[in-house]
Amino acid sequence: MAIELKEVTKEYARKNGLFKAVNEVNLSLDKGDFINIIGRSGSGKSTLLNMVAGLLTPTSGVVEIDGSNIFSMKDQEASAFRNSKIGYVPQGSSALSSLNVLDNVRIPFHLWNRGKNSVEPARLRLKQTGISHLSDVYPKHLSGGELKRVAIARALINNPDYLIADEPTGDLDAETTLEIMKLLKEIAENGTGIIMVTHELEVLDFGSRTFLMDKGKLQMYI
Amino acid sequence: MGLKPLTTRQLSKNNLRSNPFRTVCLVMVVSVLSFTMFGGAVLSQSLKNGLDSLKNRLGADLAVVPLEHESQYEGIILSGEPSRFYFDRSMEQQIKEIQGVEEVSPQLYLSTLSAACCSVPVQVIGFDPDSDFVIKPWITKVYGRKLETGQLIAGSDIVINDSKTLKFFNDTYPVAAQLEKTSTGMDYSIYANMDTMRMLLEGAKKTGMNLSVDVYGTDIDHSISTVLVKLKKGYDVDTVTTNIRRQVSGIGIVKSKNVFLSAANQISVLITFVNTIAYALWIIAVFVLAVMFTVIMNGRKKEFALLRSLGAARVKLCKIVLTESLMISILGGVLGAFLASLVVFPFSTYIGESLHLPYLLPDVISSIRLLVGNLVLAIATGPVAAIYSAGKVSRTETCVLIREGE
Repeated sequence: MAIELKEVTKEYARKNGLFKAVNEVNLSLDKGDFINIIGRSGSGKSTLLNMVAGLLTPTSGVVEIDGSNIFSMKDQEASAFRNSKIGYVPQGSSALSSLNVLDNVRIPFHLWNRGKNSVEPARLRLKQTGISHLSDVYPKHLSGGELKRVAIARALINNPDYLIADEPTGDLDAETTLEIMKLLKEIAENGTGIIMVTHELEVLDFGSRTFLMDKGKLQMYI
Repeated sequence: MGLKPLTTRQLSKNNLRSNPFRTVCLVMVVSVLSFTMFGGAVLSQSLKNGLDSLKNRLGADLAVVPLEHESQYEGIILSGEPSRFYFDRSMEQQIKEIQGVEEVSPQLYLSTLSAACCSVPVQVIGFDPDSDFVIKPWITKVYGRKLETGQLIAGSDIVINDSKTLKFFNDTYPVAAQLEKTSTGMDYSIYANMDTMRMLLEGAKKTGMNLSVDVYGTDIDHSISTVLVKLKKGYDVDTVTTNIRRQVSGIGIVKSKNVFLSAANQISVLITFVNTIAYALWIIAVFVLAVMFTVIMNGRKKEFALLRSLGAARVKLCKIVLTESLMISILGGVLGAFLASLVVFPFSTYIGESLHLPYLLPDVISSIRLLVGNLVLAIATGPVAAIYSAGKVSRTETCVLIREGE
């Protein structure tokens, strides 16, 4: 069981013709695997990540998650599938300002019917990410590192098989970056497959494999 | 602690709470709309009721009055302005014999005084129970028995003391019953038979008040104020009016349909104006809210992109937007209707007097119907205005939402 990308391409129409943001990419991610993707801005990293997360439809190729092609599903089914299988940590600050930390972490649990008790799993994830003491605090009172931990706790609440993280340590200081990377490694060791896009070469050692994205092509990074 | 399930409703509620200024602005738009629509609906209905009431109460086809007293007669009918005018009672018989006249009934008007001798300064309308075809049907509705000499019937707006009596010219008269509200001058009038009128006149004389019901040098037995005329079937009002004018001199004639049409025309103009304002405001409110929702949703792209990336279906985003707009509409609709109720119901008398038109508030059931209709329309306003924004948010590709939200 894994995420499999086969000849995945994403094209955009531009004035001077078609532009391939992602060009025939093949990739496989097993549970417990931790993949880094690096590359220059505009190289197609985020586009690739959005297709892996089921948020952007590829022009051609197949994205299979545990044997299912998410893009052949209707929106309701695909959304429920993503919600249960994939945890997503977006770039930058991503907490809802109208909710406190605990409720921010609980959101994915309630997007689809899973019964009522989301508090226990949310507290468990807050403990795991080291921010139990902040459960009643609102996002505007949190630091960048704390917000990133909230995003990771939220991504984990439904026990996803895969975690997709878009620059989770961007604009964090060195100490906080280290703490977040240790946390992600621990999550991978517990059996969750992780794909992380990053610009920071010093965090690559936490992953098991690193790929370089260049002009839409994905290649192994030595 | 936030232990409730984070349902669509709960998420919408939190959003509205976390942006109080934005929420208040949106609620105010709907409440202004609801205020105008409900207030306008009650106003229109009250005017229609007043018109119907006037139509029912006019009773006679024609009223023959002394020459140049037509406007005073209309004043009594429409606003109960106390007035006195008399002519010789023999007119009654002359008019009765004119071709096209089915029935006639005389009325005698007295005005009481704003002085210690009298409870209230009002118009007292004397009628002849044997020939009357106008007042008796109303009295029968509230007082099933024959009105005895010495008894009075009061209009609905006459204030009566606990002992149910009224004092005129230092004599006390029992009030047998009070008429239902009509929103016409009849609400401010007192009704009595001719014998009671005689007693009132005697009382006035004793207290030294000169009411002089004797324009022709005669007494009450030979003086009347109005002869109400009912036409025979098949006769035209204008033809009979001409017949009367030809055969009786020194009189003025008031056609009931003219009194009614005059009020109906004014009311029609007013209702059209009120309805136009209400409909225009509804269209403006939908437009304003649609623009506001579009601007607000543009500012919330990041939030929607986040929800989508966490696994929210497109329909969920749509539901969040529509639920928020529905909550805003409910708050605004109820607030507006409540504020309108505080104006239109307690101040109905003042509004009626200011308009100088028959004005009769709808009954409880009709008022509830108007309220429900208004709330349905006001509550629908938000979701109708938000449909475009909701559709746009839910249709947009998530990665576009993410990119534009950053």
